This record gives sequence, C-alpha cells and structure tokens, in this order.
Amino acid sequence: MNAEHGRHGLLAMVLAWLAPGAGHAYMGRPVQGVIIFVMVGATFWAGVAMGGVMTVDYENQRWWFLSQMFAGVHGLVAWRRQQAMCDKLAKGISQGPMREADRELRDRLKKLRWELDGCKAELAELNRGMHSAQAAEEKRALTAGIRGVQYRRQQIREEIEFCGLRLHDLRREFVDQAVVDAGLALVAPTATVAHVYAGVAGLLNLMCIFDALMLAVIHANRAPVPAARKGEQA
Amino acid sequence: MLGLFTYPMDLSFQAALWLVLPLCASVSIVYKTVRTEDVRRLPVEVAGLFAYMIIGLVALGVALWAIHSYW
Repeated sequence: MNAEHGRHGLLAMVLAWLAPGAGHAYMGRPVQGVIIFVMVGATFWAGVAMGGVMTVDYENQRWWFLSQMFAGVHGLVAWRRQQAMCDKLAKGISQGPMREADRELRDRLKKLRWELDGCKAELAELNRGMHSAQAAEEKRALTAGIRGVQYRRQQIREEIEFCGLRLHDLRREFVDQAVVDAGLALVAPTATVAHVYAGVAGLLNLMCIFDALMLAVIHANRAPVPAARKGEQA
Repeated sequence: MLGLFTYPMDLSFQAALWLVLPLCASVSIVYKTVRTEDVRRLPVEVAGLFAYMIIGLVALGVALWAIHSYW
C-alpha cells in the first residue's frame, strides 16, 4: 500500500468518525452511508433524549464517555452542551457557598505551608546542633527531636496534598450538587438506558470506522484489471 | 423541545426492559448494513439478525431466571 492509499484510508477513517456513514459514502457506498448516519444518529440522540444533557459526562462516566465519543459530531455536540450546562451551573454557585469553601481551603493551605517552613527551619537548627553536640546523651535527645520533626513534616505534607486535591475537586463537587438540585442528575434505570444507547451508538460507529478503513485497504490492494480484459468487457 | 434533550426522562424498570427492542433493531441494522454486499437483501438479513438477538436474549434471561430461582 503506497502513501496515497494510506492517505485514502486515513481520510476514510476520519470522515467515518466525524460524520457517521461519511466514510462509506466516500468509499463509494452512499446508501450504506445514509443508513449508518441515520441509525447511529438516531440511537445516540435517543439516548440523550432519555438521559438529558448529563448523558455525556466526562467526569463521572469516563468509559461511557469514551465510547460516546466514537459517534463523532453527535458526541462532540452532546459534550459541548454538557460543558455549557456545567459552566452555567458553576457560574450560579461561584458567588455563594463554593466561594466560601474555596477561601477556607486556601487559608488552610497557606497555614500548612507556613507550618512546613517552620518545620524546615527547626530541622535545620536541630541538624546544626547535632554537628556541634559532643555528649552521647545530647545526641540521643537531638536524634529523637529530629525524628519527631520529620514525622510532623510528613504529616503536614500529606495534609497539603489532601487540601490540594480537595481544592481541585471542589468545583466538581459543587457542580455535581447543582446538577442534582437542577433535576438534571441521572438515576437508574434511566441512567443505564441512556448510557447504553449513546455508548452503543458510538461503538457501532467504531465498527463502521473500521469497516471504512478495511474498504480503503481492499480498494488499495485490488489488482488492476488487465488491458486485454478491459477491452473484452467493453 | 430542547427540554427533551436536557432533562432526564422518568423511566420505570418495565419500560426500560422494552427499550432493548429498538436497541437490538439499531444494532442489527447497522451491523447488516456494514456486512451485506447486496442492499436489496438488507431487510431480510436485518429481520433474521434481529430475531436471532431477541431469541438469544430471551433464552439467556430464562436460563438466568431458572438458575436464580431453582439453584
């Protein structure tokens, strides 16, 4: 398969992903292309109609999200709608309790970093004392002190990491709560049906993408008809 | 109209069970569209695959119900 045929297959795949059925239409099968476009689109949007805007959810349903993204333009449009809805909800809550919790966490982080600096200074001082200490009793006491400070430093570091993660998840938690409050959250069995419909639509399109690639490969590897036979056929 | 694609529907478990039929129809149509060489034979092949899938799912359901009930 030469470079031109490679491009041919790649273009068929990209088209098949972007607009379901376009890969087949590009490979000279327009009827199949139209059927695939209608069926993948109908299945995907049936899922979104049942589950609402939160059917495509990158944060909470990553595996379903992955399969939904194979539906190309349908998946991208649904994802954009979900993002716009989350942004709208986040804007609504950013002035209230979210801001308060965010400030509390940032204050806590500032205090912890200040404590960590204190630990570092204390450790440096204890190490200096250790170098100048002569008596075995004094060295033992300093070693115990160093271990205690090291333990506290480790605890502070873990708490800083925890606070950082909490800060990162804060927006998501508040948006999730706002989604529930707005009546947009998915619950069983609607959640299952909606995810399965939209996800299966994406997986069906994945099969079509692969088939479009195979059509391109077969087309590229097909032996050219000899000139004599061409004359016979004419 | 946009509310339809924004808010989730309130489905019961019984209704959700029936929704396997259009899903199977969709899968069989797309699969046979990809596989078939002759588009004119598509409705027959789709009907065959659809029946095959439904019978298979019902058989699986009955078998699981029997295991759950009598094992």
